[in-house]
Amino acid sequence: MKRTPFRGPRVARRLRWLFAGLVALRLLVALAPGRPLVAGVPLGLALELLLAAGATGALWCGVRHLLPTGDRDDGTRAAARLLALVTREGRSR
Amino acid sequence: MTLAVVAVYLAAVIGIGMAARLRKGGRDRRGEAYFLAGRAIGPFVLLMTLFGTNMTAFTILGASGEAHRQGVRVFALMATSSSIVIPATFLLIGIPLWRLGKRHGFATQAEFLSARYGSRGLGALVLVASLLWLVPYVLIGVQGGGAALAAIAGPDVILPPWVGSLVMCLVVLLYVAVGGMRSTALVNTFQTLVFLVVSGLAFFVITSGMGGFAAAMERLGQAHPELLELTSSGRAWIQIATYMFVPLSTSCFPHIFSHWMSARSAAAFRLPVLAYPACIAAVWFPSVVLGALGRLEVEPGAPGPVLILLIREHAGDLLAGCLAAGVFAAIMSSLDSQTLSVGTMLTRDASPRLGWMTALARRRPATLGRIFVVLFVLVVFLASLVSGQTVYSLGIWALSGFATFFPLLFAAVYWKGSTAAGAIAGILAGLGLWLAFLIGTGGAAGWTIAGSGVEPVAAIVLVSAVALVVVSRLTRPPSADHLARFFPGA
Repeated sequence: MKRTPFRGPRVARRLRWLFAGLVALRLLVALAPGRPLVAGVPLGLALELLLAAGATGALWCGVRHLLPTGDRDDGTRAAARLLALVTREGRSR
Repeated sequence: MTLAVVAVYLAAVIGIGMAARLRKGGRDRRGEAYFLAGRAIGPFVLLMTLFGTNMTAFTILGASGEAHRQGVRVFALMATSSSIVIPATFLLIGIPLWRLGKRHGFATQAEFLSARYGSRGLGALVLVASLLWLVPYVLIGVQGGGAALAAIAGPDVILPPWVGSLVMCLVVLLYVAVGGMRSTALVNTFQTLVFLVVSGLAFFVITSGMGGFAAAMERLGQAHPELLELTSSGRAWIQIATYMFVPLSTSCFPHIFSHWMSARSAAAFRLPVLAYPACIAAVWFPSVVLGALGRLEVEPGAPGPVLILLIREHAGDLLAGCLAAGVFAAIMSSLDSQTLSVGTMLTRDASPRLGWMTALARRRPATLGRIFVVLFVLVVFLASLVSGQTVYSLGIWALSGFATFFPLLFAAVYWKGSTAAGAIAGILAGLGLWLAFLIGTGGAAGWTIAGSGVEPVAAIVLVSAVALVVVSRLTRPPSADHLARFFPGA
């Protein structure tokens, strides 16, 4: 299977912003009111469900860029990419 | 009829556990087949077992009970945060730890941290702290199972809670002792599927009995509008914000570490990371909504968990039995993993330190693990008979304690400058604060710092992180040669 290229600092920066945005949204959505009901679901709770779906989307972006697809991979490349995502090391990997 | 369905379910669990037991043949010299299923678990079973392990009596009975009191904000409080934080920690911490575990043969956190920081003392501290927090967490399952069976049996059948606890302990003991991680993972998969299906079924049956979901929610909005709100004050918002620290504890559970180590490959983590938010929503939404809707029919302070009372009210005996089996599934899928992880820790971390056990731990690790599993289940069952705290408060305080490890695990994977002294300081600082909170509040559930809404777990994680960083800065970092074993490309 074709491996997704890891474009170093730019991807790492985007992923960091993506997760920071998700956390910020989480804090904003908590302020949503209970009314009106959307198909019986309180508005705030409906937005919480959307947020969980958004988390899946953000994680998909992370998994796509960071994780291997084959079972033979020993995880070293993924660990190096994660290190680059979290720290300032190995951004060129 | 209800109890008969539960009995059939338990028999099925035992059957799967036995069928999945270790294959005869090659010797399990290091105990990896027993403790880690030979590090061969694939993506789907890994998802089911990671998710099932995190579903406890707290998730079902505790969460619906809290929603009965607080309304749908319980979903915002725990479920949404979990759906973001838990899979992110699988990605950020789980995969690097899996790689190191596979490469160096680690099976427990204490083994990994001892090697990473070159300190046996740190390993001992991690072991002691893990056991300190794991015992109350396991009690959640044992007490919850007993209470659930007693409540489901109904007023006509007098069934003391200890009977349910005993049955659950015996069933779990049987398949964990015989089949280890392989049985645990496959039984967890079955139990998680049962739980997910039954959870949806309960939601459908109970809301139908209430005249339909939308109509019931409309009535709830008219009778108790406050139960539909996520936040009613600044304090409530602060509580939701700081509750995001609670799911950090999941990545610090010893049983989650064991499941990570059992994965076949790094790629096996893809499905658990991606599907975890959907699984969370599928379980918490029915649980929380049914708990809140329970206010239409069950007054606060009614005897027994609200979810069980609703099931008895709206479901027939057969369905009540299925739903009871679902509750049992959630509880036992945690209890088995926790029990096995204790057996693993005592065999691999504690025994080599005790002279007379060292030889047995080296020659027959799986046998020693089985002995520890039996002893641990016995101790937990006896403790469940005398413990007086509620399921919810037990869960909250154990969760808070485990979060102490988060800064340490994160630093171990990402910060080359972290040191053994810093790691020990971080754990001691977090543990000290946890004990201070626990003693100061008398173990009360729902307590926030000075009534501000700030969850104690947030302070515990931050204090632990600060102690780790400060002491690490003041002490000499490990050598480059040592770090090369643990960092890619170092």
